[in-house]
Amino acid sequence: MICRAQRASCLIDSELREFLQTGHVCVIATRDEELRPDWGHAAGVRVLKSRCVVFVEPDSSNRSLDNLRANGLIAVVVTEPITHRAIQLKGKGAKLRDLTAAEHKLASRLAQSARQAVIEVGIAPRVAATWNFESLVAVEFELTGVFEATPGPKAGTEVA
Amino acid sequence: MTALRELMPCFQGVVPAAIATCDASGVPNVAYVSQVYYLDEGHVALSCQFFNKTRRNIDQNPYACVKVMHPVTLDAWRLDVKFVRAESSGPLFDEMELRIQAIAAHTGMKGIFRLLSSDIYEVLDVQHVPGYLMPGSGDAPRLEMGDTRAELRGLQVLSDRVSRTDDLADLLKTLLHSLCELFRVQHAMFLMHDDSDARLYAVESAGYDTSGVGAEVALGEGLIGTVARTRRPLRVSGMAEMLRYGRAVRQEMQAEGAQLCEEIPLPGLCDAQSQLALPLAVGERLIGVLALESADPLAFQDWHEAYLSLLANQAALAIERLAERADEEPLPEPDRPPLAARRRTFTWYEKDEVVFCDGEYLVRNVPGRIFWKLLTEHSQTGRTEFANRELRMDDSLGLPAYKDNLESRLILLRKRLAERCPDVRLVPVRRGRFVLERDCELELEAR
Repeated sequence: MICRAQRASCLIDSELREFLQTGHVCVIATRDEELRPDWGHAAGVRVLKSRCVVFVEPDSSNRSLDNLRANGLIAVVVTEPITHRAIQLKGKGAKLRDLTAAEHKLASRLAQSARQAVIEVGIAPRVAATWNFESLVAVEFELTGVFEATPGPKAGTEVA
Repeated sequence: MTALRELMPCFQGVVPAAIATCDASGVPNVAYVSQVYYLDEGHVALSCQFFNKTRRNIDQNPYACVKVMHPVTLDAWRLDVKFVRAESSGPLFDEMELRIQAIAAHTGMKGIFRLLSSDIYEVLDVQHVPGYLMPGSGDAPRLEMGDTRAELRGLQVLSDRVSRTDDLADLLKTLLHSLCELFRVQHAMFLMHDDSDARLYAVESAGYDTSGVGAEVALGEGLIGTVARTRRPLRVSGMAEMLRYGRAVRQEMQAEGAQLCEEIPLPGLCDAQSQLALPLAVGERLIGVLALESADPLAFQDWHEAYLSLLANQAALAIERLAERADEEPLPEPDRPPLAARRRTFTWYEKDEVVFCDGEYLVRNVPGRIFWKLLTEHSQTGRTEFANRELRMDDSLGLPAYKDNLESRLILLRKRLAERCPDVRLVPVRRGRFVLERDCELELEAR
């Protein structure tokens, strides 16, 4: 019997893994106990076997981090701005922790790549450089679903 | 709580907004939104184009959190909102749909890519997001909105200039060049509507490297054609982002097997980032479209649309007035001018109703028929002076009996000649009359 997390992780093939870890624009969604949603600002994701880690900027996302501490439910969308290609990850059991040394390097590369992605669509480099990813929190969660999020008729469908 | 009106630059569509929702069981979701529309200090409207997860979540749980970003500084705001209702008709829907239609028309998805509803949300709270930008990046600069008195004065000056013109060519030139001078518009174009073939033709332009006169747009085609068809102004900021979004949807639809049309190339600037297109109409009759463009994604603001719509109404009436005035009686023929040694070959392709000059396209349809009539008559009889009235009475030209736009067609013809064949000119000599001047020999062939 295959569990939901294993099935979801199976949906992330090498191409998708590369897309997710290239460093595009990354936004997270959470909700509080009264089902009030919130969004948070992240530098990118790291794909593990049946889990993922998203690197969240805490000052701009404190409400979402409180939600994650309370219920652990998370959605993460990774978007390539120039093509609008987007993938959404859903997860549960999110835990907050510090980044490992390797993750610091990865997050730094993802942040730089995200800045470059917005420069490609016309944001001035000096402005993109002000995007804050200086001190990040690692949010590790169990993957429960992988969904198409590119605008169009397939948006919201599970990745085949 | 930040006032919503202070976030107007964030609602221009230059940087996509995102919306976080969650379903009844508490599973969160986040998606991008193509349009966030400012309604009033307590409400925004979001475009709904697909029955997607966001929409299903909202049906279960009306609360959402919207992320908007300043297009210049990238600073972010958090809008806590609650769904109120979805509108699928009415003025708000029409206005939001117009923009979607323009994307659809431009990206070959007319009738496929459409607005399902304008979803109205009550704004419960608006908070600037601390820490989104590096410390010390500074506050978001307010966009320069100009000095209102200076803009009003500019409108008055332009209005005076337009009302003083007494021929159509002068009016169009004054209109476009004054827009550039007084409103810091960089690129402007006027396209005349031709009832006979449901197309628009560029007859005057300002600020472009090449005039573009003669460029055509079909009614309903692209941004300008959409404005012409709907008779409603359209302002698009961040055109590159809008087209990227449209192309992403197009690619997804093609992958699903949808049959789509070719993408329509934009007339004018190849790197236009914002466009304001205003219909010129008198009653139900469309006169043409005034199209302004800029390489700056935020060049046109709300006030441009409001001010310049007033001007477009005045210009439409002025064009109507000048096109209607009485033609004068014919005068005796002047002497024929001496000919130079050059030779120009004009070819009339009857089936396509098009005139070529030395093997290159010159003009077609009604202006083409007019020009061919002038050339053949001049060639057969040596006649050089012509009256607008006789053109109006010539059934073979196919001018409509009412509101024939003859003046605009002659302007287009004159400009095409000036660009493509300056050896032949149609020079106005007095009201309603012009002479055919040439510095070359003519060779005419009909095919």
